[in-house]
Amino acid sequence: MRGFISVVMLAVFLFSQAGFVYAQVVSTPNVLAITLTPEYPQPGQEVTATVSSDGESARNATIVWVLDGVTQQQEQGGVSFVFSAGQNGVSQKLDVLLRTPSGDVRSKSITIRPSELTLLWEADTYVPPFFKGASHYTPGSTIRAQAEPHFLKDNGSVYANAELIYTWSKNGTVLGSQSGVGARSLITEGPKFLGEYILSVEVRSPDGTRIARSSARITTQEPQVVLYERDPLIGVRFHDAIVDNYVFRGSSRVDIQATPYFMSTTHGNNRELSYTWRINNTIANTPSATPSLLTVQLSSEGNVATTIRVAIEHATQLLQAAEGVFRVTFEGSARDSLFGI
Amino acid sequence: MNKRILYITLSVIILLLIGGLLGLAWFINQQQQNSTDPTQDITYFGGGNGGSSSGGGGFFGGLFGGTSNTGSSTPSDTDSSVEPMLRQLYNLPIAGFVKRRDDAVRFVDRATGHIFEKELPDGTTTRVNQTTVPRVYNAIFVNDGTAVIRQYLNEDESVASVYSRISSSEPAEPFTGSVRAIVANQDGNKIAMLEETTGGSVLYVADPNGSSQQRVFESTLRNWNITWNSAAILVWQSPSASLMSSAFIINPESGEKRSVLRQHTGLSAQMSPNGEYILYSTTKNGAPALRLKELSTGLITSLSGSTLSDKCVWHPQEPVIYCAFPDELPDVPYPDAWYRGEVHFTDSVFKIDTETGLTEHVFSSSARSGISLDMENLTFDATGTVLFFTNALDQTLWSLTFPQIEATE
Repeated sequence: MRGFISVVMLAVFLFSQAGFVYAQVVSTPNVLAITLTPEYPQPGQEVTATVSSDGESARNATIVWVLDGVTQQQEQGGVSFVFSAGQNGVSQKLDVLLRTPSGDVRSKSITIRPSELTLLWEADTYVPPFFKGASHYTPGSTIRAQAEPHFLKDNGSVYANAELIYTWSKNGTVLGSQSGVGARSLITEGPKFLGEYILSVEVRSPDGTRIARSSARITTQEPQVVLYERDPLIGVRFHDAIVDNYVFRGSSRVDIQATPYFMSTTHGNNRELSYTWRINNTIANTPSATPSLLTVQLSSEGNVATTIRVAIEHATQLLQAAEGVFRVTFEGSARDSLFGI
Repeated sequence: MNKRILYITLSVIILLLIGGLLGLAWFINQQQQNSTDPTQDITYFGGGNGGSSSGGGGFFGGLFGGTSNTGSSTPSDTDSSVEPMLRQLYNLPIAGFVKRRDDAVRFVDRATGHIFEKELPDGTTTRVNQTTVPRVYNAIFVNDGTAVIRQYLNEDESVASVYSRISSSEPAEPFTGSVRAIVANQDGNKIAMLEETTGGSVLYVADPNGSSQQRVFESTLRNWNITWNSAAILVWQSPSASLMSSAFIINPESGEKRSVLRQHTGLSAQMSPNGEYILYSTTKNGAPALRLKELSTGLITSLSGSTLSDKCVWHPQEPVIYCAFPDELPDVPYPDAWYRGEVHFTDSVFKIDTETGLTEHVFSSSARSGISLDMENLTFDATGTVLFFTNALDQTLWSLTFPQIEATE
């Protein structure tokens, strides 16, 4: 009987110890987390670090931020800390210490290793030869993109593009088939129906210690038609556009070239494009081989003011259309023509 | 009898054709003869902004002076007391030019592709190559102006490029592939050529005739601008006021690439001849803003006034930049509208000291005198006393000669 009671008392003691152990597990320190914005800072970028606790509110605590061993900020409720990311590939150690009103001290450390990444992109649309400006995205055209990472290894050498892991996404949806190791280039459809999207690329080193992300907002523009005179001697005068209220001087015959900026074509007389010309609201015909070129032949000798309208449509990209209206004057005096025409 | 009438008719037709061809040749020759007429030197007195102070500390004052889209875009300055001399070197459109010797400049007539050389002291113009290449849109001189690459358009708007030695009777050598852009290095003994491919584009360094190609850069993108006026090749994405662009420098020997400017709207750039600085313009508040970046330190300095870096040139001997500033900037997107030829400016030239930040007015092209100059392709001679440029409005060639000031004890 005495032995039975001893076993029961031992069991009770053991269970009570277990319960005490369980209580000890419940009372371990709360977990701190540091969130960075942006999540993967690039060199020199302004970064906001925010600390959060799943237990007692951090806003009641005294919070100390330490960057690379140097105290940067110490204040009550200072849950956020703003700093500049370091140089490319150079690690930064960020510590946060949190002291609650009850006296608990907790800490958290993270390592930041900024890596440089630039997302380049362009629209695959038409601009005239020798044009120095950009081509814009218009409905139905294609986007060309290229990631330009500059990731440094610990020894200071640069990761080759083929070593890195690229993840492309549109509006957060991963383009799995176009992502992967060495997949630094992307050719893809642009936004549909006059919309826009965010194109992003995330690049990681093979060991995952270097990560960078870059994004671009792809918006839809409208094609533009610009008129230029096609001079018989020097060709198309791309350096001097025919703008509203333009004055033509010198000849009784003028060739006017319509240029379809940002349309999906390789040249102005591509068969995919159709041109409708009007002079003072009267349809003007152009040669079938060169529909982008309007020839104006003047019969009178005086000044002639007129309105030229041209509309361009794409045969397959129905949302790609452009129209321009230009008021021009053909000066009657000093027409210089060899044969008097 | 019928045969006789036929012979007479044919003879008349032939005579008419011959007469017509002779007349056309005379007409064209009349146009070209204008180039041999002595040019009239034009001088300007007073200048546009005469005597205004730099205001607020000159360089840094200009940073906060601000520019407006419709107002004046010229920087405040100290006025130069000695006026330069303006000359029109050729009154027809050209495709490209080179300052060949201390006293001569060579250029390509755009209509015919003929090459002329103009002696600067006496204004004599000589045709040095009469190989006809109609409608040359762009010409790049190489090998100290002894050879030239002329670019023209095929019917499908593809670019054709041909290389020829000016004093040789050998036929021109065509470039293969779809070449979008060609630039020569400082010595003119190498070229960088951007070729369009199915996958995007490739940049080669090659001999001036396009041979011995070495691939130095390739990209999925095709719209790149390139210059090579320092040891490194500068490439940057074609700009727009509403799009971000980035710029890189490429070592022509190793192909090593380095990012120098990242994500700027309306970006246009050029390197200093010593490769230590990059001058660039971006779109800020709707207007172009000039900046200078020191590549070794990354230090960026804003320059006063509002213009595109395309309208600037580095002095060959001094740490100064000469820029053409539009007297007024219409409210349009930059550089898009200027690149499309939709706007033209009346410029004033300022000299910017990159060490002190001071700007100095040196010349104004006043609309009141009947000459409006929208300056581009600015190039100095080796001594830095003659500034050559083309007028974007009509592609004519001009020079601005700065009087040399002798030092006094």
